[in-house]
Amino acid sequence: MAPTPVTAIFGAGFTVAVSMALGFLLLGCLRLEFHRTEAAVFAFVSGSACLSLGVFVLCLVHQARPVAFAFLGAAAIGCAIWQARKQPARAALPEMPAVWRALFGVVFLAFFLCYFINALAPEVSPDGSGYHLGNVARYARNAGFAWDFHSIYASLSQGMEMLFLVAFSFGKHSAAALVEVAFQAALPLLMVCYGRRFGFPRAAAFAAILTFACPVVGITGSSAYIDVSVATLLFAVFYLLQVWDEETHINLLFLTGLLVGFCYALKYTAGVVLPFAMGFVLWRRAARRLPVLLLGAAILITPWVLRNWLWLGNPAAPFLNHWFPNPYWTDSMERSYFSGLVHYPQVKSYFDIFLQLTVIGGLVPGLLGPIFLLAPISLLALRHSHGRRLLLAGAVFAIPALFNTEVRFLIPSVPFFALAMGLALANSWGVLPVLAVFHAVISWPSVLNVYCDPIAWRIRGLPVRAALRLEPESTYITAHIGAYALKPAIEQAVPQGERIFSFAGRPAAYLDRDIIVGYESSLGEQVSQLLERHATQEVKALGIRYLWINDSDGLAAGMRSDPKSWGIRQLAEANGTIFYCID
Amino acid sequence: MEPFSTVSTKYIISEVGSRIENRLLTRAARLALAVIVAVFTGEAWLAAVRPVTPAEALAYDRFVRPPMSETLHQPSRNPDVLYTLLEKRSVGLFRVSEFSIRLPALLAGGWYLWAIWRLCRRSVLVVALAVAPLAWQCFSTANGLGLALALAAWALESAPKKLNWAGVCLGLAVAAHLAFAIPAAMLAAIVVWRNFRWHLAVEGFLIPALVTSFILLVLPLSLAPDTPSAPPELTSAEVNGVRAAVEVLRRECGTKPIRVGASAAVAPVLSFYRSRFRLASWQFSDAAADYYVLPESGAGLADHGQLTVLHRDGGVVLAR
Repeated sequence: MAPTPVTAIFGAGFTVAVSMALGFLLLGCLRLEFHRTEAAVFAFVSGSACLSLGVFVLCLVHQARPVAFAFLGAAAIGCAIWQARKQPARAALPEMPAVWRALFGVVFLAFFLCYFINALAPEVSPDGSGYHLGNVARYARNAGFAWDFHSIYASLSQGMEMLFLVAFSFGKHSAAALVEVAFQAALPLLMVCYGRRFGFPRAAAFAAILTFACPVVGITGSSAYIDVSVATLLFAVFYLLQVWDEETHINLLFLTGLLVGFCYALKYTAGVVLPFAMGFVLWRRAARRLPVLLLGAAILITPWVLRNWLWLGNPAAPFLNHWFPNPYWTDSMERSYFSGLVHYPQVKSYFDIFLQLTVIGGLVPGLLGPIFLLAPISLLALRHSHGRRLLLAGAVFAIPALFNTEVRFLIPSVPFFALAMGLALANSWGVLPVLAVFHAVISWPSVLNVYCDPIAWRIRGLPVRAALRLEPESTYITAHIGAYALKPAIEQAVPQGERIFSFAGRPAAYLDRDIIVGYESSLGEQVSQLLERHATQEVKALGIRYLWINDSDGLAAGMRSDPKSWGIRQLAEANGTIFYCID
Repeated sequence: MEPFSTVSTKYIISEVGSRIENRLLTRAARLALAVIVAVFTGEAWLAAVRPVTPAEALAYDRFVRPPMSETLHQPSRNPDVLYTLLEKRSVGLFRVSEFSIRLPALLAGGWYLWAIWRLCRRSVLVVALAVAPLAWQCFSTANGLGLALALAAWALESAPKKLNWAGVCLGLAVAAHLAFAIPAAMLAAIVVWRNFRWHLAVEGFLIPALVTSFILLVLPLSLAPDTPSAPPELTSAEVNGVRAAVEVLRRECGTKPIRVGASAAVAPVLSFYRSRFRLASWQFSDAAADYYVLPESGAGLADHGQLTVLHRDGGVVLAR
C-alpha cells in the first residue's frame, strides 16, 4: 500500500498512543504520583521504553508484524483506559506567567507545525533514509531481526528503531519521522514542567523555546534520527532524579533506571547517563538504593548486550573489537572510523569552531543558533543549586561530542545549558523574552537561509505539497537524494536476495535489496580492497554481482572509461552515480 | 483624603517643574540653551549641504542599499550596524540624499544635546560638551559615532536610578559604532564600580548591555570576512568631480539604460549618486561599458584604451 499522509499520521499516532498507554499502566503499577502534564509526558517516555522492549521481543521471535502490533497495542490502550477510570484527577503544576504562556504557546505551535510538515514529507535525511530506516525496513521485511546482514549500523543498539518499526508498519517512512517529532515536542514540555515544579517557570519557558527552536534540533527531530529522542530521555532521567531527590520514593529510582537503560538502548553514547545517575544517587547518600536503579537499567540494557554477544560475539558491537575480536568488523576499521569522526574538517581556529557550531554550520554540519554564543553566560547560574546541577549534567552529556564533531551530538546538552542560561538571566528585566523572541525569529527556516552556510543541514522551508503527497514522492526524494533515481533500474535488474556493493552509504530505506557499504563491515572492506586490485571476479565469488559507484569515488573514472577491462557492464546511470553488473 | 501616591506625584512634578524654571531664569543657562540650539542648527545645515564623503558612500553602497540578506555578506565588516539600520529606515522614508543618510546622526545630535542639558548642572559644561562634537562633525556625518555618543550620554544620565535603561543604552552605543566598545567598557566599569551589588551591577546593568549589543551585532560580526577589503578612498575634490560627471551624464543620457564603468574607488560614490538621482536604468559594468567615470590620476584611464573625454573635473574624467 502506498504511504499517504493519513497512514503516516495513523502509524505515528498509534505508536505514541500505545507508548502512553503502556506508560500510564507502568506509572500505575509503580504507584507514582505526578502532576497532570508531567504525568502525560513521563507516561509517554517510560511507555516508549516498554514498547521498545516489547517490539524487541517480537523481533527476536520474528513476529514483528502489523497485525501483532495492532492487536497488542489495542489491548494496551484498552487496559490503560480501564485503569484511568479508577484514577482520581491529578493536580496541576504551579501556573506559568500569562505572558510566558502566550509566548511559549505561539513559538511552540509555529515550530511544531513546521516540524510536523517536514516530517510528514518523504524522509530524505542522510542517516534516516540510510541506516536508521534501512534497518527498520529490513526488520519489517523479515518480521524481525535480519541475522544474515552485517553492518556497523545494524549492530548498534536500536531502541528507537523498535518504535520506528511499529509506526513504519502502518505508515512507512514518514510515520517513523513523526514518532521522532513526538519526542521532540515532549522535550520542551518536560522542560516547562521542570521549571514549574521547581520554581523557575520563566527560565524554563525561555529554555524550552531556545531548545525547541534550535535549528539542529529542528532538522534532527523532524527526520528519522534518534538524537532528539536521546535528548528527551536524558532530560527525563535528570528530571526524575531531581524529583526522587525531593520525594525519595524508591519506585522513582526504578523508573529512572528503566529510562537510563532505554537511553543506552537508544544510542550507545547516551550510556553516559548511567554513571551520572549512579553518581547522583551516591552523592545523595542513598547507596543502598543503587541496586534498584541498576535493576531498572539492566532490563533495557541487557537485551541489546546479549543480542550482540550471541549474534556477533561482541556485546558492545561495533566497538571494543580489540577485546572482542569478531569476523564482522575489525579493530583497525574501528580505529580509522573513529579517527574520521573526531577532527573538525577545514576549521582554522577554536573561534571558527564556535562560529560553525552556532552561526554558520557548513562544516559540522548544522547549527545550534547564534544565541548559543551566549552560552558562557550560563556559568552565572553556578550561584543556584539547580544551576550547578544543570551545568554538570550539560557537561557530562556533552562528552560524546568530543568523539564526534557533528553538532547533533551536542543536542543532549542543549536543554541543560539553555536552562542554566535561563536561570542566569532570569533576574535581568526583559532579557529573557527579548532573547527568546530573537532566537525564534532567527531560527525560522526562511530567516536561517539568509545567514547560515548554504550547505548547512537544516530545515529549508515548509514542503506542504510533498507532505500531502500532492507532489509525487519519487520526485521529491530524487530532488534530495540523487541516487534514488536508480531505484527502478535496480529493482528491475537485481533479483530478490542479491547484494549490491557501494563505497558510499545509500538510501537503503527505499530499496529492498541489501547494500554492502565499503566502510560498514569487514566484507565491505574486503570488497573495497579487491576492487582496488581490479579483482571483480573475486568480488563476484563473494556473492556480490552488482556495483553502485559514485562519480566522486576513486575508482569511478577508470570503471567509466574502460568497463570491459574491469569485467563490468553499465546498467544505469543517474545524477552522478552509475550502476554496474559484474559479467 | 487624597491618596499618598497622588500627593507624592504632584509634589515631584512641581519640584521638577520649578527646578527647570529656576534654571532657565539664569543668564548662563539661557546662553547655554542658545548654544545648544545654535549647535543643532549648525549640524543640520552641515548635514544638508556637505557633499557625501567616500566613507559614507561606501557604507551606503554596502550596508544600506542592498537588501538585508546581502548586507550580511559584504566584503568588509559593518562597524555601524545600528546606524546603518536607522539609515536604511531614513532612506526608505525620505529617499536617498545627503541629508537623509545623515538624518539619524542629526537626530542623535539633538538627543545628545538634550542628554547633556539634563546631565550637567553647570552651564559652562553644557556649552563645552555641546560644542566639542562639532570638531568631529559626528552629528552631520553618516556614521554611528554621533549616535553612540548620544546613547552613552543617555546611559550616564540614566545611571544609577535606571540601571537597566543605562545598560540598554550602552549596549546600543556599541552596536551603533563598534569602535565605541572600549569607551563603553570604561563607562561600564565606572557604573559597576559605583553600584557594586550583584543584582544591580551584573543583572541590572551588564547583562542588559551585553544582550542588547549581542542581538544587534551577533550576525553582522559572525559573518564578517576574515580579510576585509575596502577600495581606495577618493579625495573630496574627486567626490565633487564624480558628482559633476554624473550630472553631465544625466544631461546627456537622462534615464536611458546605459552601462557605466567605474574604478573600484569611484564605484561607491557613483552608486550613491545613481540612487540619489534615481537613475536605476544605469547599469554598472566591469566589462565593456558605454561610459566610464574614472580618476584621472590612477592607471584607470590608461587601462581603457581609446576613450573620448566628455568632461573633466576635480581629477575625475567622464569618458565614452
